[in-house]
Amino acid sequence: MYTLERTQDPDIGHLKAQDFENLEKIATPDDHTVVITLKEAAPTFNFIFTDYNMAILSSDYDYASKGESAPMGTGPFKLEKLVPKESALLVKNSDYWAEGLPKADELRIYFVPDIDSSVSLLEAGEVDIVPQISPIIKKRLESMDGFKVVSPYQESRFIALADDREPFSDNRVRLAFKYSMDPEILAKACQGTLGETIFYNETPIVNALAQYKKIPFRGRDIDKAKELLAEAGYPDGLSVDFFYASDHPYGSDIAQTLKELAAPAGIELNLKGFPRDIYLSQHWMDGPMLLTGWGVRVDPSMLLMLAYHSEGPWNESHIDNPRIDELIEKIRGEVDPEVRQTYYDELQQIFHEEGTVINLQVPYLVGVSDAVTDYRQPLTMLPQLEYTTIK
Amino acid sequence: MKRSIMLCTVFLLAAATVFAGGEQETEEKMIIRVAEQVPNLITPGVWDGQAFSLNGSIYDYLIEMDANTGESGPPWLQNGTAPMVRSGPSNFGKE
Repeated sequence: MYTLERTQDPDIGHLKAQDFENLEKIATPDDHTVVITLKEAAPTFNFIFTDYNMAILSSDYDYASKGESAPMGTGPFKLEKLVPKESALLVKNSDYWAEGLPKADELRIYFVPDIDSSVSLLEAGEVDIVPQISPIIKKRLESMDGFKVVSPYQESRFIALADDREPFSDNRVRLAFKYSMDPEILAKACQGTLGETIFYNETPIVNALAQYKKIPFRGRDIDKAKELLAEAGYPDGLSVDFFYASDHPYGSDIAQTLKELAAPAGIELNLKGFPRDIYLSQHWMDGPMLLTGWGVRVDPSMLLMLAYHSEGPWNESHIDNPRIDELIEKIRGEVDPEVRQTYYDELQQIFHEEGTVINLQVPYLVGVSDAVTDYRQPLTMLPQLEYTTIK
Repeated sequence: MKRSIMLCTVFLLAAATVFAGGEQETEEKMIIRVAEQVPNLITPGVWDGQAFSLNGSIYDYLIEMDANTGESGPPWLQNGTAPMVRSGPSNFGKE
């Protein structure tokens, strides 16, 4: 109950505040049952609990004063020691609800902000798992004995075109940019193949989800792009700052390729690459054009509410489209799956015609040593290390 | 490369103070070692207030998807009220 109730605490500013506004009452008839009554129908409500910021918390925990210094929860491992920005030691939770799990006794996490250093540790046998490797490192590890690369799912790289500031506040400029794109070249830049390992569309819905509506690519048309720019008042082209995380896998390659693709149309991108922590803390949510890594939510309405509703806390493109807001709310409340899909279809069509995002989907890559077995990482993004064993 | 080696050395030395336990203990225990690169993602910082970070239940989910088969987990995921997730290209690169 505490976990749910605290989402509505205005002092916390919880990311799920809007999702749980729908709570009417919560009851706990016994020690193992929670009964949630909603104000309105929400057929995919269960999925909200799968988001990574919905960890189960105890009311005994003084989050206000302890923050994350002494974490607790219901997971398979318990924190034994944390040295901020250096390392963490977690030990098996002997009271974990799933019998026989976790299989490992300890989990040691080294916070290594440099991917090359992380891979060096892997190659030296000092660590077993390195998440978020690049395609280049993937090729290197696969050429060596003793390592393998796991790709449990695709994740998105959202190219966000800010709706509330020039130049992308004009849909003709957004369309001009989209007409300058070439998904095949972008896929090659990501060391992949379009339609096999790399996917591209102009909506927030990833191609792998059932809600995805197939809309043919508009085609690269530089003349059309120039025409649209001239209509929007940029006959001589324009220049725009483009912020991204230069150390995030695919980040620099995508940014450089976008710059080269957009240039012939007269759109000059001023590349502003920063380390990921700097990007997220200082530039994300506040730039005319952004490239951000996004994990897939198993129910896309979670992502829509978070990032594409005008009141979404992570509305990075500052989109403010009343019809899109309305459709997101209808999607969340519609019980009939077929009717719900019609809302998804209309929403994706609107994004294709006047949206603020290009959705490039890339493989999430994890480098592991051959000693690792049963590495699992579901679409909810967080690794399930309770199943993992080390030979 | 030199910078990488130096950084590795620094991190391992620092971590040794946390993971001190001796060779014998290491042999007896099954230990998973992860190099996590995302700055501030599971350390106190910019994500404060989101009940996220290094919570013990960070590895605890309601939904499971088997990366080997692409099949999703609990039956209620498949019962028609829930969004379906297709398997397929997401298994790219799997060993």
